[in-house]
Amino acid sequence: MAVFRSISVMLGAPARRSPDRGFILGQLMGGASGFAAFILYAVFIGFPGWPEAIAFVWLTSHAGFAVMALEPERDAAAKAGALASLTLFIAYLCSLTGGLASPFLPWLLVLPADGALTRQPRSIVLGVCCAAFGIILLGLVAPFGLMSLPLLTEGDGAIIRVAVALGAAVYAGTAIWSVTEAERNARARERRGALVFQAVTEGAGDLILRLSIAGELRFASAACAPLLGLTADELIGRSVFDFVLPGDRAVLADSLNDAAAMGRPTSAEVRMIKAAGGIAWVEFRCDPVRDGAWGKDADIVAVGRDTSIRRAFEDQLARAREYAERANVSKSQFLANMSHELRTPLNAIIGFSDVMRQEMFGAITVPKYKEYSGLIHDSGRHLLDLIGDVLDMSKVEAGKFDLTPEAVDSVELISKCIETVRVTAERKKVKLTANLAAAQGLVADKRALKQILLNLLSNAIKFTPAGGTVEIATASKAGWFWLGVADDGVGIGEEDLARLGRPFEQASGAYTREHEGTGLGLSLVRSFVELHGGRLEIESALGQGTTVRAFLPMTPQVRTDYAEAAE
Amino acid sequence: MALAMASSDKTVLIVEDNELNMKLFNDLLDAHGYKTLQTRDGMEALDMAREFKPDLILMDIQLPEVSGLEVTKWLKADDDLQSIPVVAVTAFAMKGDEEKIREGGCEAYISKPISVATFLDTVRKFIG
Repeated sequence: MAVFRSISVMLGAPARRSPDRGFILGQLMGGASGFAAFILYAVFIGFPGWPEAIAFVWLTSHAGFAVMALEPERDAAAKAGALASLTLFIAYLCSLTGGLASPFLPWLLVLPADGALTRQPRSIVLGVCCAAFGIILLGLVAPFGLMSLPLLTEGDGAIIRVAVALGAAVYAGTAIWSVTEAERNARARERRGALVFQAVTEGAGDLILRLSIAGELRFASAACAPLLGLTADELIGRSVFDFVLPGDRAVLADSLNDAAAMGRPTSAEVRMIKAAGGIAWVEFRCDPVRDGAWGKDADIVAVGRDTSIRRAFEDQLARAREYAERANVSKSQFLANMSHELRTPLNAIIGFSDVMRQEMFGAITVPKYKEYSGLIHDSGRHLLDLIGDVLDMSKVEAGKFDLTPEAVDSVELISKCIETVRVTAERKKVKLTANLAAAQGLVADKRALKQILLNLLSNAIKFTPAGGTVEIATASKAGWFWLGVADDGVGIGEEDLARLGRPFEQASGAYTREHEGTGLGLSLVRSFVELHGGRLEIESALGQGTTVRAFLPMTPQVRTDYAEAAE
Repeated sequence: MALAMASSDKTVLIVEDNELNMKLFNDLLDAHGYKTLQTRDGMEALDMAREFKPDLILMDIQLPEVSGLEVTKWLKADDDLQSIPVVAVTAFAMKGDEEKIREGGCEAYISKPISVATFLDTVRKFIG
């Protein structure tokens, strides 16, 4: 009867309550057996007297409890009623059949046993109470004399006793068997559930924890072994904070509290301490759960993902960036220092030689000395220009040369540059001719443009023998400014042409001995032209002279690659 | 060119830590009739400015201990001294250096290596 109730209790309360089929079946069988006993009694013994009739009707009426239990809401009432009724019925039977010596007395003992099988404390207590009540009732009734029924004559008494005791044994055996069977089914179902759960938690690879808000670990998935080097058993029961780096404990504690307080998921990235030493970065998503499995306070289910690799990568990236930035800063610092340190002694060289060639403190009587002081001064200036070139080239290479575009009067600028190199040209007996067209609206970096012109002109003069001509021409057309410097000098061989414009390389062989220079000039010219978004063309053949053309957009086109390189 | 300068009673304080450059500036100024005061130390420059009230200060920027820019800041913060023009004469000649130095309170900027003509023109502009 109540036995069957225990099954549904063990499986956990189903979401939708349904009628307790075991209980209903038990009550129906009870009712049927009452009716069957009445028929058998009538057939084999004869029409029953009042006491027997009451017993048969009583037992038959238990079918009513089955009808009552069809409504899930009245299930509890039906069960309590059936238990009470059964107790009184057995007590009644006993009082009819010898009181405390009755063969039906063992059935009273079945009641608490039946309750115990439900594993519900309330059922056990109720069963014990009912049995005790039945026994006490019999004890109280006994002194007033017991009814003696004809069916319990001396001869038949033994058979009845055996039959009733057998019935009780069979009932108890059946009850135990069904509970055991139900338990086995429940265990199998539980194990399947656990296997599915295990497969999910292990397969996830993430560390799944269930913990109290205070951090006490209630469950840990198998992922704790590869992640922390600890088994779930070593974790469960301890505080999660024992495994978190002290500096990160507050972060996790806040996350747990917030999740519970706000009732929504939070996240925290913390460093966990590995059993073998070292740390693992774990990013937890903390979900509050209120299933009451560990009391009515909310618990936290935390799913942790190992982010050590990502962290390591980020750290590496940050270090590399820091290193690059430091290197960049120190390179800029080096360039600035180098410029400063070279200019300081040049100041004395150029300054004193300037004073001397001006004969500021009196005439130099030896003409050679006056000439030498001029040469020292010029060489100092030349060295200064070279230093400027080297620094400019370094900046261009480092992507740190920023253009300052402004409106430029090309004719004025070019004329000035021609004046600057005229002395050298005259000294070399090279003829300079210019064919300049005004370029309206030219915007460029003035210093860079001047460098382009001076470098092209001095190169042309340098490689043109006495009696030769260097011609400079400009034109503007369709948004482009065009500037060409042509000479009829030694020219450049095909092999060397390809190498031109690479920094620190002057075309090899004969030139190196014959002509001074670092080869930087043309590299700078190319770089400056390209920084403006322009293009440089060189046309030359050995002995045929050289023509260099620079094409500049009327307004500099921002070269994003340089801008990015400077970042 | 002969020394055709009339003697001037103007005094120039030269703050410069490189001996040769100090000699160059001193000789140039001396040749053109200016009186000179010399120091290679920024702190001392401030004391000398207070004591001698020069008509012009030539300020190197990179100095031992305190920089010429700092000394200029102190000079410009001092009511008695702020009227003295300060000309920076420096080997800091990279892009942006001149702007930085002018923002620091210097009235003029000459980059090293100097051109003698420019140097003298600048001095004349301030103290004739």
